[in-house]
Amino acid sequence: MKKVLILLFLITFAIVANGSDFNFDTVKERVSEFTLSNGLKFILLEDHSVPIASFVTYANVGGSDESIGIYGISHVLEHLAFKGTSEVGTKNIKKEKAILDKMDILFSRIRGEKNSLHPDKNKIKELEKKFEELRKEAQEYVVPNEFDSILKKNGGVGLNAGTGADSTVYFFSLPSNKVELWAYLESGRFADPVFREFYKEREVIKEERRVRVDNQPVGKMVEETLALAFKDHPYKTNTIGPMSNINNITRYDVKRYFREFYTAGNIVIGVTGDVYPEQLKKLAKKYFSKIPAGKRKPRNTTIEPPQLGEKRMTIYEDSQPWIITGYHCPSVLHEDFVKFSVLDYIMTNGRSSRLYKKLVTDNKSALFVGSMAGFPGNKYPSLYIIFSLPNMGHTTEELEKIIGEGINKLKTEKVTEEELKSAKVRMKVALIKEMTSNRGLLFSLLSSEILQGSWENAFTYIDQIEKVTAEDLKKLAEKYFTLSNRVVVKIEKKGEDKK
Amino acid sequence: MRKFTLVLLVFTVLVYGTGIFGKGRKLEKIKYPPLNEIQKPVVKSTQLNNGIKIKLIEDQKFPVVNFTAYLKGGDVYDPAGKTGLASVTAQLLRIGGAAGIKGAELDRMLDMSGISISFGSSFDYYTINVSALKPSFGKAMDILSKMLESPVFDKDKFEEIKSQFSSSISRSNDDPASIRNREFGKLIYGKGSPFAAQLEYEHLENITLNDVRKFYSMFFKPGNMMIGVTGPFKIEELEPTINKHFGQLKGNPVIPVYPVVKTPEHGFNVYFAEKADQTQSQIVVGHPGYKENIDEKAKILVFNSIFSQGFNSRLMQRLRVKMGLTYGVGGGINSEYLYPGDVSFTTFTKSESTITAVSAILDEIKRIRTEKVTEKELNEAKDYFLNSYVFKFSSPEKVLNDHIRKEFYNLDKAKYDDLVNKIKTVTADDVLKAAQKYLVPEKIVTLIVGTKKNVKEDLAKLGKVKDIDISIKPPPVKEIIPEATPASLKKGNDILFKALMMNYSGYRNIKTAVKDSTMNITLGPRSFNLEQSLTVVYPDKIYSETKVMGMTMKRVVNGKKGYMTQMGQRKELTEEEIEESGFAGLYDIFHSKGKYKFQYLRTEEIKGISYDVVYITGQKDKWVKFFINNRTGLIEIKEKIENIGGQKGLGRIYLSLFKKQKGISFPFKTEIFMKDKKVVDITMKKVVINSIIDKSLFKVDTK
Repeated sequence: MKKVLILLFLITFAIVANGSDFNFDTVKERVSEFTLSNGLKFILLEDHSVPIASFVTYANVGGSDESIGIYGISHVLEHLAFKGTSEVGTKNIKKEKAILDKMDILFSRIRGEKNSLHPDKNKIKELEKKFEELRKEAQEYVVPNEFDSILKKNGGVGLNAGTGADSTVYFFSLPSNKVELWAYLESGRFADPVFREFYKEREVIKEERRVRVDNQPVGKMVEETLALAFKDHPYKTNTIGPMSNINNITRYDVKRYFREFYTAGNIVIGVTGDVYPEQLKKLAKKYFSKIPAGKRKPRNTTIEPPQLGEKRMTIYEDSQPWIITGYHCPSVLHEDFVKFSVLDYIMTNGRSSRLYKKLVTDNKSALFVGSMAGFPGNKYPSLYIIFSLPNMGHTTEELEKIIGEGINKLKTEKVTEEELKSAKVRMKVALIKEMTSNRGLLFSLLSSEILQGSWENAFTYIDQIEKVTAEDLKKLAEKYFTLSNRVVVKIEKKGEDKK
Repeated sequence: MRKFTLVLLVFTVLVYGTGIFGKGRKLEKIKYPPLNEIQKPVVKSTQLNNGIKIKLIEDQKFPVVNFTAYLKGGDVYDPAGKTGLASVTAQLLRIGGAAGIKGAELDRMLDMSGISISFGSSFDYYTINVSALKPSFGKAMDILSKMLESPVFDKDKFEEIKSQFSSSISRSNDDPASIRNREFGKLIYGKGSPFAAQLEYEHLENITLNDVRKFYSMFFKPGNMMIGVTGPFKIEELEPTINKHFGQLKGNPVIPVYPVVKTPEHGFNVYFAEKADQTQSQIVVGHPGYKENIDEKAKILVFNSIFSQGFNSRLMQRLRVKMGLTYGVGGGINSEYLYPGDVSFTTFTKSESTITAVSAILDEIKRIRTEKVTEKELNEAKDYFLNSYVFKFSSPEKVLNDHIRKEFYNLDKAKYDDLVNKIKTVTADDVLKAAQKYLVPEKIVTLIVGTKKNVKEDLAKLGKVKDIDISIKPPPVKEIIPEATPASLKKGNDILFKALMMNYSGYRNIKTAVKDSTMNITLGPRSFNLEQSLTVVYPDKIYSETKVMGMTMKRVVNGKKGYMTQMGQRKELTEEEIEESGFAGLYDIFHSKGKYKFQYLRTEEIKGISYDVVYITGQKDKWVKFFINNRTGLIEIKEKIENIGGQKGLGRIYLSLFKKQKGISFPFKTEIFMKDKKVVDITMKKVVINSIIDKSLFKVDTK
């Protein structure tokens, strides 16, 4: 009786799952685009149901554009983009700028002395004293946080930004009658920024590094995984950068970096909400035309060579154990990338997924298992990682063994049609759900635009998923899941290294 | 779809000068058009006959349905010593299986059709979230109704949840910020308070499947459910769907009395929790808070905005922007609907600047309590609330949640709707008064999590310092019982039967027994005196009457049936409870050959007396240890899992003052110890054997 019931259940299920057809064109129809003569592209996703608007500035710059000595600069720049312009955040721009320039010169001297072969401590002290006086003087001209303050009193919400390996994004929302305020502020900070309060902000960034990395075992583990997996490509550093680089980046470095990467052609602007194309075009022309013209930055020419052999590392921390197993995978432009995404769903998405079921449910040896393709980014070849936390009384060795067996099985047997179908259904549902959030969809349009050449790719992704077969996944596993291509990083409890 | 249009809301924005006002920047010349009308989504409400309330916002844009059920209950009702029960219950309902279908099979079915169902326990309520595309919504409801109507309390899934919870305990000191939040709760509400309960290994050991069943039947009733749905439905379409799947559920919840917060007194100002190798300190400064009061809410919102919330707040300005001490500052006057929340401010800074950062926060607290905020600050905060009002309607989910929250907590809807107008009237004087009223410097404690030697400066600058111990209490040690061998079983058998023949042979022929005793039970700080009269007709009838504080409780067992009464309420005993009453009783041991195994464990010396320890097991996983005086053959100590007043754990029972009657040595004194504390003390007053008993005492049928 029980069996029959389950069977009936399943039959109705199959029908239900197939009946969920949704026409993505209804969403696509709400998207429009235009490009200013300086090369700045705008993508608009209209939705007039609520009189609000959200704005995203997506810059094609991130950790992977950096080089040694200035690792972390993309993120430093992101922080400084909130400090205002020559109109916003100052009481007297001329006088302020004069002092800022003096400070830059003095800072270079301090930096030079500190980094000289035999630094003169007294001289440093003396210079630092002068520097502090100048800093205080400059501060007199600052209207602190004016950028934020203007937004806040106008009802702006969600002001923030994020820097990743591939991109830097800036965003906030306003009531939709204030679109022009956005145009004024946002164009101002990318056409005419003033990187004021640089030296205090650096201390803030150092605290950010301490809270995210230095005092967070998982943060350290992620940083070490990147350092181990990549030897040439800039994906090898954490986006926040090492402390020593943060300490030595100058305002001049930031200005130069800004001029190089924040050109009209290297930025795409996304707007969503109660905004009309003609209205946006008019404002865009009026405010954003002053952003210097420029082309989209070409790819970084450094290519990570094939890994020659397995790489392993264990860090010892005041923390319970963790394990990351990684395999080098291709960039989002490669046809294999979408296959990794499907595989990802089969392996760890949902309680019925292979590794989740095996590790968490059946063996009870893991507290959690998750995975992702495209770590730390997907603009360049990167990593497919599986991360897991052993349950109490279980070890990373046990987990490594089971994960390894799960990976090997992919090479010897095809995944079942049911698993494949189930993964595709969940991926499709996830895509439709993403469409229900204007902001979520806007982010995905912008990254498709920059990383894949067109925002329209966000709508064809579903077709790419549909095409993936069980045979494809077996071939994928054979190609990528080799020991030489593997990286294993663990956290073990402090003191274990002394045993 | 009928929409309700909000009138009002053409906010004129006043731009307050910042020094360069009028100097000709474009900003001040921008003319903003009036805001388009807000089409406020309408919440449709209905109720099923069984009490389930349904709230819907129709949203035709996408074929996606979001469903959330809210039920009163949650972590705050976890019994003492069983922290985590509400969460375990919620998780098991989700993964245990339903209507005879295995949990793993349900998982597979849900994944196959892209349905996600999750159960969660929050502080004051449970939530059930379902998300599905419209075509599979009916199926999702079908599965959910099965989970609610006929859940399987599967032992293996129960173990899965427990192993997850144990692991999270073992990981609870990995992240410094979560240590800070947890320990601060304990400081302001007191250790052991339901408002600061911390999950321990021992709690997990205490939680049984029966507890989970009990919580399920207390809370997961249709009379306790409020469902909120957004999706492409009309109410006329949704109600029958929900009724079809949930209409047959019956019953109302049993919600216990909400606990009362008792805030402890503090002899210290600063608490330090040591965590190794930190280069940064996690800091919180604050004290217990206040229950939500809508009449005060406008002032508090303005206060929080000016003082500690958002990039422009005073704390952010001072600690981050001016001093470069931190990446983030947060907190505020945090009111709760059912209990006083807290007033707390949090930040983190490199170890060396710990004291500087704490002092800066304390200094700002002092300042806002003594000086009025500036007009600029006041207007900026007020403008923010007025101008960002439209974002309350930014998604149907937001509007629905707001609606449900008001109804769930029974809030004064009109006053909440008028809040935006109240904010307009807040003055600088109001903010000052709010600061003076709600921030109480004498009550403030500071908690720092970090590495003390890296702090460098002397923490005593901040006041009296106390170190707090955050080490994780290890799981209770379980005795490992060696595998039984024919030899150890034979020896156990021999020892026990020799003792029975020496001291308890009367149990072979006993017919009835009546025992009168007085008892004293001590549970935590409370102590009760009881009088008990116990009547037994062997083999399977028991009648007991217990008097405590003027009340009489009855307990009757007759064969496989039994019940108890308490304050006039009758409750049937479960099969397990009935079985337990006879388990390893000496009568039972004499009369049920082969039912028990007697395994000799060891000979142990306690207080100069040598005992043979025999480990007795019967059906299922029940056990008891007898410590038999190897000179007299008296059973002087027993060890087993006790459950006294909801406190469950290993109990040691000491028996003494033996008097022999009709071939049985009865102990006239019994003391039960749990965790080395005496919890029960029984003095037997008399025993009468084989008297004539009125059989009507044992009537268990209600007819």
